[in-house]
Amino acid sequence: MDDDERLISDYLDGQSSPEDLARLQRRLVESPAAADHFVQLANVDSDLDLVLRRRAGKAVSTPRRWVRPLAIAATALAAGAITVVFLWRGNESLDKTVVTTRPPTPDEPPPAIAKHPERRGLFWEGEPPGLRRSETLMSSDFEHPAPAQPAWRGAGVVACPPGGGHRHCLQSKTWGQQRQLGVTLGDWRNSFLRYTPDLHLQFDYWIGQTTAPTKPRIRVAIQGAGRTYVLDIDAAREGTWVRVTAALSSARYYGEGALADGEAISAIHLNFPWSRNDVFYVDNISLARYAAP
Amino acid sequence: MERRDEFLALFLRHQGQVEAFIHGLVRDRVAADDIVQEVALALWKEFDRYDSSRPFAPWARGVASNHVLRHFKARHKEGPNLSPEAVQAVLDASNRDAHDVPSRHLALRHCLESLPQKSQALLHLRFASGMKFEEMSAQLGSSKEAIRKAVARLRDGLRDCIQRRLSMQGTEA
Repeated sequence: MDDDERLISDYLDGQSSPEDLARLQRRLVESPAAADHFVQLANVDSDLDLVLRRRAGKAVSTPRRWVRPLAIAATALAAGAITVVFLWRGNESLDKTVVTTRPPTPDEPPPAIAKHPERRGLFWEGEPPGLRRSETLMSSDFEHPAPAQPAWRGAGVVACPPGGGHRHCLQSKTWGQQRQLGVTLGDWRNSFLRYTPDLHLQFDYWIGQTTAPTKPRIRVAIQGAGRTYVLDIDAAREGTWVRVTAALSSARYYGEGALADGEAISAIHLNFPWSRNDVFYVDNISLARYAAP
Repeated sequence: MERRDEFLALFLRHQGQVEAFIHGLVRDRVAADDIVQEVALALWKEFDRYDSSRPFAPWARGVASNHVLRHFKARHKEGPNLSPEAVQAVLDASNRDAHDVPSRHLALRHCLESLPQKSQALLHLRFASGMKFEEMSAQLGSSKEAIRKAVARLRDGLRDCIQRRLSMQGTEA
């Protein structure tokens, strides 16, 4: 491995020292060949990310116990199902439970707090314009988690705080680098959702958090395409529930290199890119398809 | 064709190239994903300024580079990042790279098949599962540095293989 190669690899792996970064910058500026080399190696990284995620689940063993949800998710990716990946570390106790309200039932109007002050990755907001809700693909308030909702697998169903009452939620924690929250949603062997150029989805759920992050971001993604939300939760609103509506339009987002026409959509991820191991509760999840009236 | 349809057709065709450019420069995957979305929106907003007689991808990457630099500036307290001159050099190199994403993916698939199972498993842990080197080290029982070097060697070997295959395709074409 020559020096350029090492400098570039260290950068791509996020391991550059300040001195190496300075050297890499000099090399990129003074040598077009070094810059070409950088682009080629960065492309390998980017392409591996896409290609391997799509092929995941094939003949790769991951023996460590906590990796199993990843393997399940990866298998689902390859096999073509729609999933929400739920990764958590175990049954750690909730010592900071401060969620004090419950999400409304689906028929109740959202309370005043239920708004998102900043939404990014926009192509359209809320319900797709000119389209109508044509089909609820799946939904759950976790009141009867199983077997009424067989689509949900691996869910950490717990009583909703405080006290639980008769309601149930999904309990989640941030995890690892990805910090993906999730539950396996759907049977990956029976994919029912396929990409078409006119596919419009709305993913809707309520989230309550138990600590007080300043401006938590939540990313909802389907196979690399997604949207990031900055939730309107601050210290004054700690312990409340916020509704998130993720409008995902395949025609406007899933393009070349992501999904081919007719290909199974395999995953919906909820990413919680926080630095702490916060605890969240999720309830009233639904996934709906929209179509032209 | 409506302006919006024209934009979508161009954007979808070149989205992979724009994403690769951003992800190559920004190593925080979540932040890079966010920038991709910001850039997609910015491209649409600025599409009226796009000169359709010129190639779309270089224009899109130019817009993307501004967002990347803005991100670097916002994160400067967390540590040094690439300078504007270095980002420009990468932008120029990206614009010299004529290969499209599907061709690269096809070449990569072929090259992956030629790797030993153990190497494929290593790449799977790193890229499909998104594991950190520390996590891979714990799982595989090797030092973090050894795993990092192995991944770097594989990456470079794949780069050589992909470039060879792309050259062959170019010759055949």
